[in-house]
Amino acid sequence: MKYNNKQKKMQFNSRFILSSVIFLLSSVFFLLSSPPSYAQQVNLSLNPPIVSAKIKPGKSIVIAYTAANWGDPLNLQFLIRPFIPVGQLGSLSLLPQLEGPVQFSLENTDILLEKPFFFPAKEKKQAVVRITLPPGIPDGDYYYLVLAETIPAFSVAGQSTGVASASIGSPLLISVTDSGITEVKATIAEFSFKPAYEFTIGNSIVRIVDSAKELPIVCSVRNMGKHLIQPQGTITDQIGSMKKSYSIIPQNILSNSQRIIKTYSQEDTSKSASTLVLSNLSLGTHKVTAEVIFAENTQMQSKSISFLALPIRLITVTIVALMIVTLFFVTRLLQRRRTKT
Amino acid sequence: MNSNEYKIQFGVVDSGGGKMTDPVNNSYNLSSSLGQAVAKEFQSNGYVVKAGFQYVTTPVPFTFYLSNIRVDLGTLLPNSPSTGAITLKVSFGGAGQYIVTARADRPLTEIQGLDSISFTACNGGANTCSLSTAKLWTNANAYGFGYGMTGQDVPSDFISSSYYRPFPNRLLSENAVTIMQSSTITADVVPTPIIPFTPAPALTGVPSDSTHEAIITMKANISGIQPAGTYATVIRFLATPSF
Repeated sequence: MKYNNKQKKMQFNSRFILSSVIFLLSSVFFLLSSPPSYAQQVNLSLNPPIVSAKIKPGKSIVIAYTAANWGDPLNLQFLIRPFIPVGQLGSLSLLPQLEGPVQFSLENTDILLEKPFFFPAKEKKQAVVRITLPPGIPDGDYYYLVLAETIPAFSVAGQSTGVASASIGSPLLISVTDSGITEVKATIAEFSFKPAYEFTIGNSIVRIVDSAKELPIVCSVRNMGKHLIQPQGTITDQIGSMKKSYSIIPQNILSNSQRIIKTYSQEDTSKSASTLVLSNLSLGTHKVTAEVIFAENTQMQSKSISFLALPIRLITVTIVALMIVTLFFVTRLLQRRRTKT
Repeated sequence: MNSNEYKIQFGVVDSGGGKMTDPVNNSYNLSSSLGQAVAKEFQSNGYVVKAGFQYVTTPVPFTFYLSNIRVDLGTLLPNSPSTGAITLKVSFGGAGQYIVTARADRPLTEIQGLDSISFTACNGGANTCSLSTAKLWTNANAYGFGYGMTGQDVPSDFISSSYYRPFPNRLLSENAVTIMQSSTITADVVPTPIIPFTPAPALTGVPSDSTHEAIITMKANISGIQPAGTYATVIRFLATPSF
């Protein structure tokens, strides 16, 4: 009997020890395999990236925008704000309130403009925007950004914090025209480059550039009309009988604004406020011509600039080297003469 | 999608005569029309709508990413600057031109009261920074709240990670400032010559998709007389393709 009790006790103890070990091992495994916690990420997309519409007064159109949440769940709202172009590089400035004659509403039954909703991760949401132009609205352009904006969550816990709100916008460019004809009133405002040297000979100005250096060319177009334009054309670099052409990218130039135009070029102009960067210039006189059409059935505008490409760096180094060598020989000659006398 | 009252058009329209095919995966065919047909369409429907950039198309949407939405500056101690960072990424398969702007709702403000940590002037004197010009902020006795940028497409005045600017203040109606900008059109796209005028040139290349990344570092430094409390503000980032 005593022996059986001892046996039972031993069995219980071993079971207890085994259970404890299993529990401890499970706990350690759980702790090690728990996913690490990340700060909330925002990863949003909005499509289409831009919409331009030509509309008659009194008409109404519907455009569907799709926002996708590739990050963590968040609270989002759709809103629309007017913007104005700023500078010459396609920047814009948002106006604080939705104002003006153009009317906006959402056709959705489940969401409203400027009303937050829960946006789960890995989901898409379509905002069907109705745009209504009242009759009699003046001809001209009206520019807006359709925005998907996250709602910042304040949960400060005793630490000073900067909380971020992310918005993604899609430009909406509305041209109102009763006749269908848009006003085109534009000019090449600037077509220039920065020469290394410039001097006047008689009546002509001679501009010299270093053929070994890159040469940024700036071409900007000013739109003085009521509607946006999409200029097209080419910029050609000609030296002798050799010609190289670069097509102008037909970007929007908004009403009453000026913009530096860009060309399809293999050179990276992202860091410079320039249209085109010429490099590895052939020696000689270059004539660079911009030929631009602002709209169909309009006259082409043309402007030219010219410069002389010389190996300035090479010439400078050669002259300096010659001077050093000449100085050396003159010094030696003078020394020899002194020695003789 | 269309009815008697409206028609919605997407993709490339009005791009010159002929058929166009998605150069990436042949997923659509459009018969395009000349300008005169567009005018006809406008007269009959009262509108013409174009969605997307007409000179380059891609299935990749414009995307904006933030690595985190909270920047914990920790417990602020006098003359001991504290920093926190967010990684920003912009992905575009389209035209490539984009802008990211930033603005603060207000200075870092104590959540229970009205005390605030004003925006930085950096080291001061010749190194006084402004909304559009970053300057060195290395002096432990220079107080305030500001940000620095490093990475791709950031303004050129952020010479190093020690250069900072104050945020624009929404309370003072200051405009948001550009913190990332690219004006590059995606490479590998070769248009055909434009003779005669066509609204958008046909593409013979394949646009390359691209993601650009930058880091915004927020910094705060306080004096010994700054009232105790928990300070917070909202920084609003806006990413948009350029028009």
